[in-house]
Amino acid sequence: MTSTRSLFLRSVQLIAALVFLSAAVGKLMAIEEFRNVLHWYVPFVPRWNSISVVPTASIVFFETSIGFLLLFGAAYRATARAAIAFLILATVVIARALFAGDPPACGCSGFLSILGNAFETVPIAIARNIILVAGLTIVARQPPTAPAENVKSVTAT
Amino acid sequence: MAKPTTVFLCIAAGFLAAGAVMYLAVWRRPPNPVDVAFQQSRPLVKQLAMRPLTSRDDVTTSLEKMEVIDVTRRAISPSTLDALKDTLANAISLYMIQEEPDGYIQWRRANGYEFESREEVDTLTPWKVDDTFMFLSTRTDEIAMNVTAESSVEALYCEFWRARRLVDGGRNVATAIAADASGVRSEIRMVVNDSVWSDFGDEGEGRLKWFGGNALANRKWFAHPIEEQLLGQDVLIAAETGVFFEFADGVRRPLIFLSLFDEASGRWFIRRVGMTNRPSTYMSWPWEL
Repeated sequence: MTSTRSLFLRSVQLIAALVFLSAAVGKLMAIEEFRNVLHWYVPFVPRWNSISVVPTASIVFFETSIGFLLLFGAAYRATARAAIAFLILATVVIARALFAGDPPACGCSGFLSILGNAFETVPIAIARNIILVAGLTIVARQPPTAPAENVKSVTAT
Repeated sequence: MAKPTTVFLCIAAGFLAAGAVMYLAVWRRPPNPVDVAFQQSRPLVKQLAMRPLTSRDDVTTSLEKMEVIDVTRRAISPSTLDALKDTLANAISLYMIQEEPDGYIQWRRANGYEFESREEVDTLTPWKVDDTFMFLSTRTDEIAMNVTAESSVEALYCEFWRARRLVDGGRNVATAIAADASGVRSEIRMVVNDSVWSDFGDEGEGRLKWFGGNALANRKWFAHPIEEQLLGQDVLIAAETGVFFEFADGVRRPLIFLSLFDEASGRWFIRRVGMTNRPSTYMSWPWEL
């Protein structure tokens, strides 16, 4: 039972890590495209000048840091909380853009978009974020023992 | 690996990625193809004969020299061609020479046009009115924000009209117009819809001169019932007329007018005005149509 739960928690972390790192790499590979669509989602970001590189770099910083922290299971509760906060903020921003009009693909899926264009659509991104928030909430509510360590101890026995 | 070290390395990876964004976006930005095409076209554009643009006569004189390429296979009559020139002369002289929008608005209304609704103006272009006004206001302190959510479309139009003359050192204020056929050209053809202007210009140097690397379309403010009916037809007669201007910032570049012909009334309707062969930094609208 414990091993199943630990495996589940670790899987959630790894899937979330994949999503975060994929999004960061995707943006690095298509910075100009992302900067061009950013103002659709965050209207106060100017579309026409180099200031938009600052929010782009900030987003990539958070995605990369959280992605690696999730991947290595380091500070997993704090990381999960940070990831939840980031995902909720991103979901609100994306949902606002969806209600305001018909926004272009947000580039939120990074290289996962090679799995299909559906991964680039805004409603799918919102659904994915909600599922991730649910999974990460369970991770964040764990007692202070790293799920990765649980998995190792279970595997050893 | 100790946990604090892991955390530190993960955050360091984040900073590294953010640094990569800054490096790629700011320092290693590849040259914009729009700017490359614009620069390549300068020697061609420099050769154009120009005349100062101060009156309607200057416009009509230039349009009389227009190279006309008729590929409709039905030979456009001289009167139809004259009607096209007259429509363009009115539009260019009222829009480019007048400092206030009243004459242009009166001309549009006298020809049966009415202002679109605010929602339609936003729908007809991906550039929202509010966003654009915010953008324009960052380009010059002289633009007064005399508009509110309750402002009429006409009031908004007048603000945009004045703003486009003020921004970026008069980059939208024409001071000269091409004086001969090398800078004034019209292609008249049968089309199945109004999406033809990107084909303007021959291949090679002609396309480089007329189209460059990119185009930016007008914002549309006026509607005419006949124009909407024309778009419902299977086949249309359309004229793409390219006219080179020299603007107050010293740059020569063309505007390409797409006009649709209504055979029943014998009238031309300017459907679109495109700013082509422009530097990538020219983001203001070529025409408040």
